[in-house]
Amino acid sequence: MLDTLYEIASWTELSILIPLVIIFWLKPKGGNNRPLVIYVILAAITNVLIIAIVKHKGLLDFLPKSNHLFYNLHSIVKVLCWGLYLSAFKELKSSKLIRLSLLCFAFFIIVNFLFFEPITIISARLMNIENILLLVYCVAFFLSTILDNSDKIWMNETIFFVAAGINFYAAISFFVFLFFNYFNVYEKEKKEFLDIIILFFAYSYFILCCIIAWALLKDSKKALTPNKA
Amino acid sequence: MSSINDIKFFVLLGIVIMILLFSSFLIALVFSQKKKNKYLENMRKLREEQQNQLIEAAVRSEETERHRIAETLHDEVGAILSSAKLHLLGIKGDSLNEKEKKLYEKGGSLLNDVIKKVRGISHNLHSNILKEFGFNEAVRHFLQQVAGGNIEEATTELDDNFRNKKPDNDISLYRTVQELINNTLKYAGPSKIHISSFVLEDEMELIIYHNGNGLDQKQFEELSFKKEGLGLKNIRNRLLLIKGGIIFSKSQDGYRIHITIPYTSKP
Repeated sequence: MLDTLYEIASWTELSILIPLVIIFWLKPKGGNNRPLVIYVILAAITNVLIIAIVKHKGLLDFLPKSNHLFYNLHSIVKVLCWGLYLSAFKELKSSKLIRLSLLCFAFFIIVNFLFFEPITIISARLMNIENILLLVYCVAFFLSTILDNSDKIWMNETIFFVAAGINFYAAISFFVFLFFNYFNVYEKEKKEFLDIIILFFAYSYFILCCIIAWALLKDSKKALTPNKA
Repeated sequence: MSSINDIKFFVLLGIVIMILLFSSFLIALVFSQKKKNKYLENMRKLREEQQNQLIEAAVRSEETERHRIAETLHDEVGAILSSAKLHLLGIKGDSLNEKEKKLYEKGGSLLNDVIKKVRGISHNLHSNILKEFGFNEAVRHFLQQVAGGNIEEATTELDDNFRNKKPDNDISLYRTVQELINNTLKYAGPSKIHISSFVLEDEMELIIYHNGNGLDQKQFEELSFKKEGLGLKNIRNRLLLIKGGIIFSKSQDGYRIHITIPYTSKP
């Protein structure tokens, strides 16, 4: 049973293909969802390469031997795209804070990978920063919606549910990567525990991808429905 | 060994606390949004109610004014005109020369026309037939009045099951039909007009068909929001008051105006 769960979890990166199908099927016009669409396309590329490297070792010679580079790239894409997505509604007070922190994040990326860590090795530091930022973004977004005095009901907007999904995902992955380096060693007990918590992380990503797909589908249908006179 | 177990416990506890915190935060947020939603819904209803009250007041005052004008025309202007006719008839035709006779006859015929017109206007403004015989009869009578001239065919096919429980709604619907027919005669130049109605399960549908040069829905929307489009605005307001809908459509054989109002035949 556990083996089946591990096997399925090892493929969950490909769950990004669910929203990708929606994008190719309905071709959403962008608008506030543009960062989300860009994320899905970029994440689909990195995740397919991650899986291709693991599952077809040696068969695809042109690919690098390790997929760590793509994990790092995916992490950067996540923060940038989801940050831009959550700050898309300029009427919210969190918008400026998120955008400003994105600049700081970009600065951190450059400094970290130029001077401290090679980008070709998975960076727990990057993952931790990613999760902290995502948690801060989501909390800032939710607090702004509470403080928002406009007539908009945020619960009726898809961004509300995507933010909830991101929050759920970041809440789990924060603790997974907080001790990633500690557990990611050749010790059976530690490795087994890491595998179990990675399982939570993998399935939370699958749930998030389903929420993103649903949001894109709902917004595309809304855009296609003509307004009643 | 115990240190590993401590960290494991810390990680799992951390994940659980994070999820619990996040869930409670989300639940609180959902409740606050629902509260806001309810408040906005109440505000919207209140605004709608106020708007309806304003429209109702405007429609009622218009109706009162119509009655006042109709009564003045009928009782005062009509009486003076009838008296003028009596005085005119009092003149003996034998004592007049040929030229005066012609003028006398012309005056008499003009006076007759004016009396008829005043009576027609008075009846139009006053909703006596509507009150006494109901909506269907009032529409039939009104269409009979406008027939003639360029109108070759003016027919009705009205569902007699329609009995409105609110007379005020009847007046609003009747005035809407009047306004639409008057507009059609004025701007569309039709030769055929047909009014039909059907009582459905929970609504009444009234269709005005004409073969002139009418409006489609888009044109109606544009015109009714223009400052000059007072008649169309009135139609909108009256239908808003009785929660009715209106759709203008164009087909190969002419134009149709579909009016629907909520209606139930149950007592």
